[in-house]
Amino acid sequence: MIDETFDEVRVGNRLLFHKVSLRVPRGQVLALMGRSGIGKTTVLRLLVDRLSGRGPLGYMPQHGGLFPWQRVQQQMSNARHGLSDSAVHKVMTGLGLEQSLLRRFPVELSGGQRLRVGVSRALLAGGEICVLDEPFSGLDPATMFECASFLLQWVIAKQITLVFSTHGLDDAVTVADRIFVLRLGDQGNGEIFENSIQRADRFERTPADEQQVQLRRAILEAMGSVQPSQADWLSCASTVWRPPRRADARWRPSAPTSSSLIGKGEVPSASARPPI
Amino acid sequence: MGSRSNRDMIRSAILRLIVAIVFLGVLWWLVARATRLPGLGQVLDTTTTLFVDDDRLARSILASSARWALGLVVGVACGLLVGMLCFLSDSRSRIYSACGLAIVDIMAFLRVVPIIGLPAVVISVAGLSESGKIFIIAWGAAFPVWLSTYGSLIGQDEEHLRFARAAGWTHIERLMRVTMPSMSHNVFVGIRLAAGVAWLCVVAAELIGIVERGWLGFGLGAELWEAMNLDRPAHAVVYMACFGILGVLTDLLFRLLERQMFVYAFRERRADA
Repeated sequence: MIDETFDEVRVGNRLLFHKVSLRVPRGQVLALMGRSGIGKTTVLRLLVDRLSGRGPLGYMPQHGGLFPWQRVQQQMSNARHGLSDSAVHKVMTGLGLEQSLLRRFPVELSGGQRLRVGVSRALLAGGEICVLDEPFSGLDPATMFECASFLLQWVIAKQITLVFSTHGLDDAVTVADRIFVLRLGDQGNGEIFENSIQRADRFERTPADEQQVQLRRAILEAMGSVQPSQADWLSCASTVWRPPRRADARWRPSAPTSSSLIGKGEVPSASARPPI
Repeated sequence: MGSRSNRDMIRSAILRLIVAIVFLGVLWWLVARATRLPGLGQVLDTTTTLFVDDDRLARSILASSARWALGLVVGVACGLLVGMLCFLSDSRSRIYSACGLAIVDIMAFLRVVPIIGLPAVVISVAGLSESGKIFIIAWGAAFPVWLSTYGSLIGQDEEHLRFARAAGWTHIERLMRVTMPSMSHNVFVGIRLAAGVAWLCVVAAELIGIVERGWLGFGLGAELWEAMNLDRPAHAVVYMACFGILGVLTDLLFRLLERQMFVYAFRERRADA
């Protein structure tokens, strides 16, 4: 579990927050949100610095933070000693990475591939806690969906405590059990939203689902400077597709086949778009 | 596919060499017609005399190369050491930080002191000794290495170190697995620059006393100064050409080494990398 409080969060001499408390019970997921430049990365770095040295900790810096001088294979082995090939294989497959990438250097990967290698490395660290800085930024919706569902399966299977920052509502409301919205000048704790949608239901409910819309709206409004009408639009517009409603496509944490969730030939249509 | 592109590369290299030689030759011919610069024939004659009839040039090349190599090694070692000392500037302790910054200031001052003038000072300290010459070469070589070492230490990616701390790596592990590999390419480029500067410094260093040591000759620089004093322009041209060829060859060596050692830096980059 995580229970850390940071007083006077600063970047250089600039005071960002008077106090930020991060509390995440074991096996739970917290998403850190807030408008661009608000200090999400700063808070995550403080958290990592605080937790370092207390046993293995999985960490993915923004943009992956891979070592330019190592091939992907070696990057993986940095996660921890005695890592088995099958573990690497499992995580890479789950995140939609081909095994042929193992021979490549970071400069030979695309931005999204670098991110996912960074996520793999963090997940393979084997610690109870994992901190990911924008693990899904710049991924296409299908890949994002695949990775988000794999990440949640991993959390459930390994009972890890996960904190990640994100700009996307989709990944926040599907992966996170709790969403922490940072706002400038916060005196206290920012705003925390419980995700009341059950984990097993999250990839079933479409963004048009009433509960989802409510949560998305609340998060957007908490970020500040969003008009209610904008919040309406933004909360729905971030996703235009819908996972297929098929009996065999039901998401089960115990039997992970994340790729089956991605619809075969399901084309986003105007009717999939929730009414605005 | 690979062998074909290799053949193409060799072909284009040969073509480049021919074009460069023709271009230089024409330029030389034009200048030699207009000035007292010796003609190509005269220079070739002199080269034959110096190389074939006498082993003086060969021995001088050996002497200069030995000084260059020794000076470079000493200079690189000093540059690395001082570069690391300067990194004290990042220390949390005020005293250490001040010391680091003071060394940076001193180096910034010394860097702009003209190397060509150094022999005048070195003679008074080291006399006509060999160590004085090595000192001048090392002096010139140290600065690029110092700059690249210090620069890559302060420019180190904090996130790499944070990842390493999170993974529970010890100080030694972080040094060996993060800091050293992250700075090694930059430092190598610094050493490559230093190798070039060291050749310039050989000429300045060999201003000091013309002494033969065993089989080693006077040195190309010494010969060059002598040719100037005795008004032998053809000799001077030969010595200059020797410097040029030695410089190109050693740089080629460093380039090949760089490609071998830092494979990742020469990979074809993705558009967004």
